[in-house]
Parts: sequence; C-alpha cells; structure tokens
Amino acid sequence: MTVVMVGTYKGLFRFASPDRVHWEALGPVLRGTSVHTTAYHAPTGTLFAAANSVFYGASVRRSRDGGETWDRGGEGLAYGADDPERVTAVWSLAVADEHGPGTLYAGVEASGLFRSADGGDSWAEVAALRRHPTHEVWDAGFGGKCLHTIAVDPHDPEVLYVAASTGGIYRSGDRGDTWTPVNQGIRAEFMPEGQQYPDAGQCVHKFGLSAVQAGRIWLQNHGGVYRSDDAGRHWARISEPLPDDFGFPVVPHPRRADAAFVVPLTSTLERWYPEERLAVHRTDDGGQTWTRLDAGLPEHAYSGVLRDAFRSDTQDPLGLYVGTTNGELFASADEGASWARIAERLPRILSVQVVEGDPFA
Amino acid sequence: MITVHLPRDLAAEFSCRDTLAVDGVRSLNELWAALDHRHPGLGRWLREPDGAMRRHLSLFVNAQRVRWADRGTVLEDGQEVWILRAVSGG
Repeated sequence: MTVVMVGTYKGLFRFASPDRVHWEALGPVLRGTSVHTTAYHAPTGTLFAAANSVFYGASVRRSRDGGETWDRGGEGLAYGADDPERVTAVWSLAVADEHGPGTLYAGVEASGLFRSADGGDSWAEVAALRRHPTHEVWDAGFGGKCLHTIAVDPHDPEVLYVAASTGGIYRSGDRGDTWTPVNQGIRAEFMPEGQQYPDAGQCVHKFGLSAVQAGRIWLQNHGGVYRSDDAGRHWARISEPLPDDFGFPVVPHPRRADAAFVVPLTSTLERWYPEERLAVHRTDDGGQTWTRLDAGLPEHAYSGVLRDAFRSDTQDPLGLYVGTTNGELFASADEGASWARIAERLPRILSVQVVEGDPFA
Repeated sequence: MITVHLPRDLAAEFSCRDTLAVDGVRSLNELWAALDHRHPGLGRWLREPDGAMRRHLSLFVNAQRVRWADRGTVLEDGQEVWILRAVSGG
C-alpha cells in the first residue's frame, strides 16, 4: 500500500492506493490545524505531524493508527522563558534512526532545531546552532523565519544538515554539537553587489541529499538550483537551462545519482508556473540538461508548489507526488512521464509525504 | 470555587468537560497550576513559556478582559473565568 499524507493549512488529508493508480480518499484529520509536514517511523508504525494551531501553539503530534487518532505531543518544544525568540511553528521533521529507537529532529520557527531521543515524548533544543556567530544574520523570508529542512547523511549518521530561510545551509559532523555554514558559492541575489556571497544569510528554499552518492547535495535556492559533490564545500549552479531559477522543492532520485526533480516558478512576483502550466523538470545528467514533464498537468494554472509539497516514493518505476497551493494533488507512477490528478479543492497544500506499507495496521 | 469555561475543541483534546469547577485557588497563577495538575499539559496549550496567554486566546474574569500582565489577578469564590478563542484563524 502507498499512502500519501497531504498536510494543508487546515488539516491532514490522506490518500491510499494498492497500485498507485486507484486512490481512496480518507477523511481529513487534525481538522483546522496547519500541518506543515509529516514523517513516518516504520519500525514503530508512528506517524508524526508538525501540527501548528493558531490558538494553542506548535506541536509534534503522534498517531499509531495511520492518522485516525492523535496524541497531544511531547513536552519541551519551546525556547526558554527568557529567550528573545518564541517557537511559533514546527516546519520540518526528520527521523534519524530509521531502524533504531527513533531519534527525531524538529525544525521550528523562529529558526532553531530540537531533538528528541525518546520518540517525541520530550524535546530539547540543539542549542549550538542558534549559538553560531552567524545566527545574528538570520532573518525572516516571506514565509517566516523558519528552519525548514533537516537531513541526516545516509552515508554517515554523525553528519547532519539543516537549512533555514534566511540563514542558509549548515553542516554538523558531530550530530549537532558544532556547526559550519556551507553556503560558499550560493548567491544571495537580494544583497548589494559585492556582498552576494556571504558566509551565511542565503535564502535556501530546500535541499536534498543523494542516497547513492556520498557528499552529493541538490539545492533549490531562492534564485538558482545548485549541486554540490563535496558535502557543501563547493557549489555548481545548474539552473541555466530551466525556464526560471526560482522554486521551492528539489527531489533527488533515490537510486540514480545524476537524477533530480524541481518545479520552477516565476521569479517575478506571481510565483506561479512559467508559461502558466504546471511542469516538473527532471535532470538525468547532474543538472547539465533538464527534461520538461507536464503530460497530464494543468494549463492556465495560477498556483505554486511549496517546499515540502513534492516527494517521491522508493518504488520502481519511481512514483512522484506534487501538491499545489490551490489544493490539487498530482501523482506519477512512471518517474514523471505522465501525471494524474488524485485530489482537488483541498486547502492550500503545505506538505506531501509518502508512507509505503500499511500505517493502519 | 471558581468556574472555568474552556474552548470546546480544547476540552475535547483533553477529554474533559468545557466547564470545570476548581476549588482552593486565589489567583490566576494558582488556577493555571491547578488546571495543569488536573490535566497535564493543558497549561502549555494555554500559555507561552514566560506565562503570557497565547496570542490568539482571550481571558475574561467576571466579564472583564484580563491582559497577560495581570495574571497575578486575585480570584474570589464564585467568580467565572472564560478562556475564549480570539477572532483569528483565517
């Protein structure tokens, strides 16, 4: 079974399929609550949701039955009483030990990182990140001052990456005890000439680590798609052939090192699709060339795709899932060659996550 | 005895009634502690770490709105406390 978890501005919607062709819509849950992202821990069958209530605050809630029922989340997901910043939302989740007891990371607004070593019962800040001297240049982008991406290196569990907007991408080689900004070569085009390559402060929108090539990182910046082959020490801009260099998500292919997917948006203020047609673009050669994939995707489309609203599964051929800001969900079961609409008229889609297996068991 | 009215969705989350009777409290701070003792975690849903009410909740004591700075407000037997969702949510 494949279940697509769709986090929206007003709740979590779920779509299940035995074959990735026929989809069943399950009732919305966490109704009225903004679900910025979700994560699934298969060994314990636990679904985690970054559930952000405008009234009652931010939380990471847990379900053991595929989202039918939820707990109220653990304790400690807050900055101290004397801290000048507050935790107003959870933006990102990462399960660090896929086969272990379930170490979790949560990225929050105002940008910071929390860790739970007990499956989400209790949380503590990974304080070294906000203590980094470059923290003072972090600021809020339009979406807020958020730590939106967390990734544990699949080739080295000691290595952790995070990205904040604005702030940029940071690397830790010791599970978060110390941090290094790895933004050199990524352009901050919103800075004056001569200051566009700072150590930190870039508006990185998303990054993804290659599961098959150690040190390879794909990154969608506010302007430009980038690739690093040395764990972020150097970056190559690879978006020249794309119709625009703006966008939010980037999805590495889980098996092919030179393949990745992006969804360009116009860098002018519309922030909808170039040529007003939703299209995914795939590279098969590390970003030298890109193939436009739009069969079955809508024309005259005036929406966007946010940073967590594009995911792949791990099946062969690869499945892809795209959610839009006007509440449409599209799926491809053939690596993007063709697409079908799974859902429409949902609230604004913030996140898409794929659960493979049966989370309802 | 103080009577506390909670938002219905909050009461549902904590599997409690939306109107609660609380004995033996003489201030809002004591009331928060009593509610959190009775329903662990409830205080975190209502207040920020520094004790301020969450931004989009409103607090009334005997029909008078209470700002967060007044959380030491003295309570007397027979008073009613209302916690309401503000006009928010989009």
